[in-house]
Amino acid sequence: MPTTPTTVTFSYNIPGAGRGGKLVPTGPQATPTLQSGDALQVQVRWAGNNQPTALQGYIVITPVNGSDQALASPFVDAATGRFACLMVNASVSADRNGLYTFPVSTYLGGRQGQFELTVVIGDSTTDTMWSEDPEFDTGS
Amino acid sequence: MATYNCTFHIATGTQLTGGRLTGGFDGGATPALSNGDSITVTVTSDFVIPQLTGNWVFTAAPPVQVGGPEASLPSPFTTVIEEGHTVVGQVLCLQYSTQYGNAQSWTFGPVTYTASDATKNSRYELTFVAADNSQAPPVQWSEDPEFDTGS
Repeated sequence: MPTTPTTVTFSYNIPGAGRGGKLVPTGPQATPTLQSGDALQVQVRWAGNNQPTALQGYIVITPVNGSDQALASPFVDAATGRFACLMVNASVSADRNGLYTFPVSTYLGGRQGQFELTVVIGDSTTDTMWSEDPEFDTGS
Repeated sequence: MATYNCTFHIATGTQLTGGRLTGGFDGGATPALSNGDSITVTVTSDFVIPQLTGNWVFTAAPPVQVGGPEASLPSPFTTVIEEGHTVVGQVLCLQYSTQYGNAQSWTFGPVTYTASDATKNSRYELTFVAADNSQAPPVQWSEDPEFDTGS
């Protein structure tokens, strides 16, 4: 039976400015499996003082390490068939709850595989960056 | 002071769609960087590309054993910026540069490792995206080899 499309979210905290470093995962750490119609996004909460007005998000999709699958990414531009490997959100502001939301893409099905989502969040006002690289799967 | 080169290839048939880069660090082994060592990336292709942007992204690699220690920082590299009269080294998670001119070979970098207590004896991942941004949407190829840092 088909399931209702959902939004899969990778959630992180940024502990504060400093020198940058690793994004701190919050919530479940299990590897999600996207089904056709599911959307993927990254949410970040600033956990320190001096919350930036906006953050930049750089999302990179690759096959999991050691994989020999042919697909570089399960996300493809519908008009051209081009793989989406790098997506840039140049400026994302926090919502009223203090969350910065970076949409990735919606999985349209038919590209089953195991992938890595490499996330870099940047604060351009301090040239500071944080990164993490969770994995996700895609169903048929 | 060694330079470890990572050679990636863009195969014919991916001109319009992008896809995976093939290849990795020269020699096939995972390099272990010592203080002062550098990494460069060379990209070759089976066809002429008008311009190519090399995007480097660094993250901590998974530990050797499940549950084992992971690098405390996502990258062993720093970028130096000036804050007033103070020079600080920020953790380098992302950098990119673009080269122009119809070509079939490009070299990006180097990035140079300056050892610190926080970055020694750790494992990292380089996620590299080569992008032809002259087209819309860009044509992109990616791969993510690992490398280590020594004592």
